[in-house]
Amino acid sequence: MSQVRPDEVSAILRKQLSGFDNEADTYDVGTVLEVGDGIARVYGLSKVQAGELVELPDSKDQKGKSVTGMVLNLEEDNVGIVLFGSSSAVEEGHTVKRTNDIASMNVGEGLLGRVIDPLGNPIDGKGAIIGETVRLPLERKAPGVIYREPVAEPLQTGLKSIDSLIPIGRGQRELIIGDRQTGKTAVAIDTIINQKETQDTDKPVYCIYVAVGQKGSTVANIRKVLEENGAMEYTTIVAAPASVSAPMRYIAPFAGATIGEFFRDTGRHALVIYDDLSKQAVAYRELSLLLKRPPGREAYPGDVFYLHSRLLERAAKIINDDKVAKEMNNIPEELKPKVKGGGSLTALPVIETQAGDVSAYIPTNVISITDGQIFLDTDLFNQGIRPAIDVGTSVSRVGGSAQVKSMKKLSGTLKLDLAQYRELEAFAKFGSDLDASTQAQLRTGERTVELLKQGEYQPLPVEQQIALLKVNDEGLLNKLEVTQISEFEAQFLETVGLKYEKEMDALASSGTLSDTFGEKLIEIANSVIDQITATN
Amino acid sequence: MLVSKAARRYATALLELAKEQDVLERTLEDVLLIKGTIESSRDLLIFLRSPVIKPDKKVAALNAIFADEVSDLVHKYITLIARKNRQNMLDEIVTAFVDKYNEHAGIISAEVFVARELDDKQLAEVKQTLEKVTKKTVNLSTTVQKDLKGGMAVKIDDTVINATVKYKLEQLEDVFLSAAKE
Repeated sequence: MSQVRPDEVSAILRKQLSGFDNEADTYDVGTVLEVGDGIARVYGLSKVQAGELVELPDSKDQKGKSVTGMVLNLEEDNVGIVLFGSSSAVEEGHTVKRTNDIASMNVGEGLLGRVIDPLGNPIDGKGAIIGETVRLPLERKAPGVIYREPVAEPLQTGLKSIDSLIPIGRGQRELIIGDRQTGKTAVAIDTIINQKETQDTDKPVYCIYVAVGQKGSTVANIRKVLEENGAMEYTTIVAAPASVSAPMRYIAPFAGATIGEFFRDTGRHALVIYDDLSKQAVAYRELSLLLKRPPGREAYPGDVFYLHSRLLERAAKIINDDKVAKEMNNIPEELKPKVKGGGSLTALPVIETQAGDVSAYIPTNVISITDGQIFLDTDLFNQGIRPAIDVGTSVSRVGGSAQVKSMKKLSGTLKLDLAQYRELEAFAKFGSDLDASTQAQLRTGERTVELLKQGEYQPLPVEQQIALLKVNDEGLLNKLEVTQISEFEAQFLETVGLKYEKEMDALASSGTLSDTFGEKLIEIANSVIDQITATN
Repeated sequence: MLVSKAARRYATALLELAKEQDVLERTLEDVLLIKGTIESSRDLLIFLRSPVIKPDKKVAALNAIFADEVSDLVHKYITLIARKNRQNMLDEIVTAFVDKYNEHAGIISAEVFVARELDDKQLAEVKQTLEKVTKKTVNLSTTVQKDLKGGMAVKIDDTVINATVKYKLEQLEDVFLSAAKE
């Protein structure tokens, strides 16, 4: 450790003192009337705005820091505020001070690779956020219609079953829904890891992972996985674990959206994952009930739909025209000089269902807001089909137009085949007397399902997916036993990667599979299949 | 003090009526007398607020205390309040009335927080400056708080103008601490 020289210290202190002004400060105050359950009612603060941050300088928590809060309720004779710190540090009669600052956070490139709390403070012990930042409000109106563009660029998740059947485009909102323990977070994490390949291109996707109400250990684990896979460099984790107060869990997704908007409005691409919104809704319900707002269905407040719709509306593909983009509504002053068109914010909200019940209040709300959903099924998961995506009920309403050309071609028949296989599978369970064509269909279906299986943290680049699906499309896999599929996959991809590196790169950039290269792929596939069948 | 909506309505009614009959100053004197009496006697406040004591007893007591002291208008007003069963709100009503009167007369009250007692000359100076800034008549009240260490803070309504040494030191601490973290 380097030595600290006393004269240096005094020089620094003198520098800071010189910038310290001795003017009187003017601010508005109020007095705490009652406090409890993370809520305080305050008398005074007559000019305070809804959503404004307030300080309680009299209160000191265990660390000696004063508690902050946010104004949520403006009533005739009192103001309802939610406390971000411990409410036991606040007493009746404490002074509440306005900050004239609508809840906001400092956002910049320095956030990448960091773990922060929903107010933008780093919590990973790596010191302050470095680099230039802009202060952006947590709540911002979504861009209007003229500033948007239809989704046209793909966002590759690296998962065969998603990229082929439920493609996601940049700027889309795709819900990941399923029971507990069905691999919802795994889908999200794989998607983040797969964005690594975009980092070398001119359109990198920056990722934000918002953890709401999760176990602290889970968040730490996710961070470790991302670090091990080299994905933390372009990812920010906004952590509001189960141990923090309800207001923190309520604003965490908005903090994630704010970071995403910074990239979106500066002409770059971002992906934000809200894991999960059902816990945010529960936090909001807690706040609303304590603030004595009337409860509605499942005791959620009336505006719980608006809570999620205004959050998810902020995901957008911005028009690729700097002049129009600069006119965008609700751009904070600080951000204005940096605004560029062509950026996007993709949102992957996660919702946890109870016993597969998608008709509960929050799931139906979010399903109707988003542009499609990826439905994960417990039964499939237990059958070993992972990712446990239920292809029948999962849809992507806008992603198709963003899909890579040759992938789109291949996926058309794939979807149909899978649907027919599922139907036949149900029948096949009862009788064994099946005609040849049905048996062939079942055989193909089994192999397709096996091919779509994929290990955790092993995203595949799109060109490899296309190559595999091409082989499947030709029906070559029927020559193999189901158990040999994974072996084939590994060997085939290795051989193709070695022999046709250039062609694969071309396929990745153009997205079109030429007939000649297609034939070459079939050739390799046949030789690999022969090899495998010969050895066994 | 938190004043309920009903108390404000009763206070407004009295103010309007006093203005109409041109007895504003006399009414204010009477109200201040009631306010002073309630503030100095906690027993009276508890008595008025108690749900156990019957309303007609409260009316009788109020009459006995104030009937000879106050003007006809205020006397009638107290009787009205009693008849409407709002005696328990009397303290809030008189507070609301004083607020309303001050608003009407362009008087604002300012609270001065200092570390040491101010002498009359200093007080007059503070008052003059505040009146110049706010363009209203200022009612000063002083609170001495030793831990402010020096300087002065003024509170008008919800707004605080803070130039105390304590506040400045706290700010300096924040600046140093936030710089230390970086």
